[in-house]
Amino acid sequence: MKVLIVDDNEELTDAVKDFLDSIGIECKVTNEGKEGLNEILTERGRYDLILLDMAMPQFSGYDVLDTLKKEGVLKSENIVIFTASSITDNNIDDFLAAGAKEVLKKPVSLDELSQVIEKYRS
Amino acid sequence: MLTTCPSSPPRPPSLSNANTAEGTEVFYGEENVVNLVVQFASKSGSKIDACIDRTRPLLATEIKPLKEAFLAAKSRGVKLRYITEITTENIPYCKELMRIVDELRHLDGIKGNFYISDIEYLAPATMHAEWKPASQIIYSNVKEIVEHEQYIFDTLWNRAIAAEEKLKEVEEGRVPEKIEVLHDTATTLNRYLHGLCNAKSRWDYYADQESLFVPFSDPSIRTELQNAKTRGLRARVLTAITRENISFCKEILEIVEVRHLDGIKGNFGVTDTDYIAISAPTEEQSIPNAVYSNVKEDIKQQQYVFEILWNKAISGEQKITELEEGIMPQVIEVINDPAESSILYQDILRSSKKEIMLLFPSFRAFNRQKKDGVLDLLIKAPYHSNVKVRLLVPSDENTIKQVENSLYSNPNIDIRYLESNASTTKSTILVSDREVSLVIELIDDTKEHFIEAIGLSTYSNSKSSVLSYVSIFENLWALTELYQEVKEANEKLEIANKQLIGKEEKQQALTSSLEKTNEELVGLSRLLSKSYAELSAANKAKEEFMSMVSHELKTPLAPMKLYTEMLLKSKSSFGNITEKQKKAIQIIHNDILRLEVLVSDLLDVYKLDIGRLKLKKTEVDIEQLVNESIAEFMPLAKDKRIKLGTDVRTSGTIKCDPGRISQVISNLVKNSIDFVAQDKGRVIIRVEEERSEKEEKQEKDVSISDSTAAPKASSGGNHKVVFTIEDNGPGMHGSDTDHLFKKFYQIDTTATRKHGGTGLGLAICRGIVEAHGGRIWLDKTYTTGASIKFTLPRNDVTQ
Repeated sequence: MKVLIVDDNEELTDAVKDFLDSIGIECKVTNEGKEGLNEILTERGRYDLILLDMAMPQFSGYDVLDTLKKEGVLKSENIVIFTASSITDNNIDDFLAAGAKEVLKKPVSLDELSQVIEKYRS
Repeated sequence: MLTTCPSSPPRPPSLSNANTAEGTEVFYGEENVVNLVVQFASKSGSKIDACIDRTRPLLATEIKPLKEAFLAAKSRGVKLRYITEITTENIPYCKELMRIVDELRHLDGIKGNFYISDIEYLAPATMHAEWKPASQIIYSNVKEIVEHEQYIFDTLWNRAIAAEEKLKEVEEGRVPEKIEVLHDTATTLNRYLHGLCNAKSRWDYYADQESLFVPFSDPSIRTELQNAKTRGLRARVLTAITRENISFCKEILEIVEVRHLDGIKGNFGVTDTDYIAISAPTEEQSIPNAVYSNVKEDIKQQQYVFEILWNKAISGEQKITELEEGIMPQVIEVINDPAESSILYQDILRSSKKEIMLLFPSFRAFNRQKKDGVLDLLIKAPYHSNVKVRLLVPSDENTIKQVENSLYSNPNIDIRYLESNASTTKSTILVSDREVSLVIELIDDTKEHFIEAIGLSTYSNSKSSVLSYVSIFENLWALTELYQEVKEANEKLEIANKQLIGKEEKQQALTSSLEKTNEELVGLSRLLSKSYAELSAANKAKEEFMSMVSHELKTPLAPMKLYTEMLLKSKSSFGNITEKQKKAIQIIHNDILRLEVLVSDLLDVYKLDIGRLKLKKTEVDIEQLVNESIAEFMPLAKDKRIKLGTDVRTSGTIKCDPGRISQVISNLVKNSIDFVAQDKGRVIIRVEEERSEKEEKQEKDVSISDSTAAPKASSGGNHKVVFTIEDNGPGMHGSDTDHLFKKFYQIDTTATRKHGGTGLGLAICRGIVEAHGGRIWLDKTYTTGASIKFTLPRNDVTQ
């Protein structure tokens, strides 16, 4: 199984990666939205699960989703929106309707994280 | 290998020689050349490949023996492939040549000629005169040379384009990259059509209201657009959809994608290969001058511009629905640019349908706008005959006369004069149709021109803000009446005064009382406008702050939570930890969870406060809802050896937001579990139909839910479901309970302190229940523990 984490919070991506390493799951981390987008587009379909943060500087998770939607690959990737959702969460509903798989709310517990990983395990 | 043959007169080519031994030779003289080519053709086995310059198609078709030899070869099944340069001059010969050969291709700038068959290679050379047969020819049957030349031919062949394509280009005058100005309508429409027919993937058209119709005025373009989809062409139109062009937009929506963007100006169309921009239509020319370009860079740039705008726009269908249903997205917008404000100001005046209210900050401002022509629309525009216009102009006795002289004869315009000290507003306030307002700040009243005198302006179509301005205006308007009355009263009093000097005191009293009313009204309207502006700014800032705070608080919690949980896992990659360490980490972990609850509770309370809690209502099975809500507590109850059970005495579904109602039940159940004693504890969730009105009334009498929490929906006709969460804990007593459902309230007992909590849980429960049209209260008649009840209407009464 291959997991991609796109989140600008390095401490969080360290934590998720440490956990995935400990259970023997291959995992790539990028801390920038643009980089994450490029990774998804070039590796097209090779990730079993993509955890995508929304609030990132410069190129946000919304921008990533927007582009994926336009490229027509939003549905074919297993994108899980990884967010500390706040008051304005209307856009997220739109992206769920457009093909993002689900929302994983921060702060996530180990159990919730494991469940999501199990679900998309190939 | 090459041997030249200087013999003169030229000897005939020794073809037998060429047949038997490998060799390369040069032959001279036209006749020899033609003979050699004829023999070459007749000997060829399966194919002839030829590369000839632009002069050769003439010779290949005009010299009979040559033409016949190749036709004969073709009829034997020899495949003929030719490359040449097709130019305007040689078109007829090329067409003829196409009838002779199997396939003809075009390549720019071919020099020289050669032929290759399976075994031979010929290179006729024209030494002196173009358009003449060659005077010498190189012949070779050396295998390497033939193969080598074949390779060259294949390379050229692959770079060449089909003759048909080039012919079309040359004949239809499709020239390489160019930019040109088109002066007449027919040409412009023709270019649109041509561009559309040649477009492979995209046909994008950006247009303002005035020019939107241009390409659609040609029926052939419409037909072509209709077919566009079937050939994979995406046709998109970006424009400003307004009430004026709505039916036209609906029409074109049938054949193209349409999106809307406010305030579009100008025009351009861009396809894969060309770009057309037209200038604004004038009265003389309905379709004016256009600029055409097929320069790649131009096209790329315009495609980019189009994409950016397209992505900013909203769907045409949505905009049309908004217009048709009269929904305007509510906005409050600040405009920094005075020029833009001025345009918007006039646009609003122009688009008013029924009513205009206009308050000027000063007499100078009024005069300035009049002189600058900003108000021409009001005075001159004929369609304003149906619009009722009211102007409020600060003025005094002298200036009134000045205006009176130049006053408009339009009976629909009503001007009133405010005492200069009656309004201290520093803005021009415009309200159109009681739907839209524009407030333009005055920064320098001494300036001569409108644009120089104004600063920021605020546009709004938000109902509440527009109505505030309406009320300010109406107040001031009423004030002028009052003023008039005062004036008239004054006059009458003056007369009376003359007659009855002794009544002077009375007159004064009346005047001063009227003046006082006057002042009060002014004060009121000022206050109203100020507090509204402050309120909306504060709300927005508060919302952004809450959103930011909750996000920033959650961010550090995320890695903390994961790491503590990983440390606590028995088989973690961090290695084993001691019991003491484990206890410490457990405490950290519990506190992380408490912080998390606090943050999400705060956010919930805030959303409830500003009415932003959005309910996602669905029909939910009651029993399932209850069971799912308490499922998470089963392990906890088991641990504490508490009895946690349900008693559902009704069935069917209820319309509610299951996530939120589940949150209410969980919250109440969690409280009960925290307070009941270990081993003997009992928590029950009961659901039943509402009892009779009478019983409920008795219950209301002891309700501690405060007065504002009274049920929003009357119970008459609406069935309600009552949820009861009951426990056998210590219960709640005394005056404390009166504040139970208020924010940040916790009953001060050791138990509460021990259990922590944010003090927001019950306030949130109350907010959620009331948002559903129900109510929540503590049942004080229940004395053997705590019993909290809440109702939910069966049917959705909040809609």
